[in-house]
Amino acid sequence: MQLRSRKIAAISIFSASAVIIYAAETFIPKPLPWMRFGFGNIIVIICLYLLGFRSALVVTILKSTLGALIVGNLFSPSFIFSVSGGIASLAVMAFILKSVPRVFSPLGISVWGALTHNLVQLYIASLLFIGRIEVLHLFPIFIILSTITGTITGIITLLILRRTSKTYNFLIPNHQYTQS
Amino acid sequence: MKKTHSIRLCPGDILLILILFSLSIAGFILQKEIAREGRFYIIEMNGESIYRLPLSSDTLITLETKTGNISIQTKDGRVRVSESSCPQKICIKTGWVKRPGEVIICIPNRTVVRIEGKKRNTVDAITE
Repeated sequence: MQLRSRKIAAISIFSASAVIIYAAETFIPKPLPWMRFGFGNIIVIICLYLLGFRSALVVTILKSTLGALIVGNLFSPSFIFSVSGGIASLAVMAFILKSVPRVFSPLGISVWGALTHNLVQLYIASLLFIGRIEVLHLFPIFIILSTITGTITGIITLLILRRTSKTYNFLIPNHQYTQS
Repeated sequence: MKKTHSIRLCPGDILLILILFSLSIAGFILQKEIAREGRFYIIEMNGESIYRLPLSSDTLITLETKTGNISIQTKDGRVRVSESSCPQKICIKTGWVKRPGEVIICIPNRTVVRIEGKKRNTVDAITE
């Protein structure tokens, strides 16, 4: 029972930080209007490593919904992109982490996540707005951008996970990774 | 319950990043090739299109018109009017064109050179 409440507390902390990061990221000037670094994904990956898929899913949905509420684009297209991309990227990250646990570090997982996020967004955008042929033109740009942003967030995630494992031990006694 | 995930940098990460980079660069190159190969330009005279020619080959065409001659040159995927008998030479001053929808017009010779394809919608800005 105590473990369960600790887990709930941990999820709330992660969700809160993810929302704040999501909202703060809106103020970072971007070279392209639809580009995001996806720093909120850092928290999602940490949560995935420590607590598993379900808790990370809760964090993802809360991040997109509450974040959109704060930023003010709830139920707008960018909110739809954010939710669908977030869930899809989390699913892919969890799948890769489960099927090949020792091939990728958080950096690789983050790149996978960013890639899925952007490609799913592109697919939905093609369904909603643009014709299919135009979308094909954007493919290489999206792949290169998501590789770059995924690498940046991945490096940050890697550093955070390595430096704070003791804190997590205190917060969540039986978390899912051991430092190797 | 306790699983081991690696939180050190793995070779798989670097391999993944390299593969994605090379994939997107290959995509860029392929796209450019397709765009270059597939484009045509159209020569219209007296309001009717008389030729449809590929932009990819380098050519020089001289056409006789009612008022004189006009030479249309293609090079490096671009096209221009190199010589014309018209008085003001506006068509020559237009220079090279290459984008879909761009035109060179010579009114005295009643000739239009047009790059085939839809003009791309250009957006000033997008807000989120």
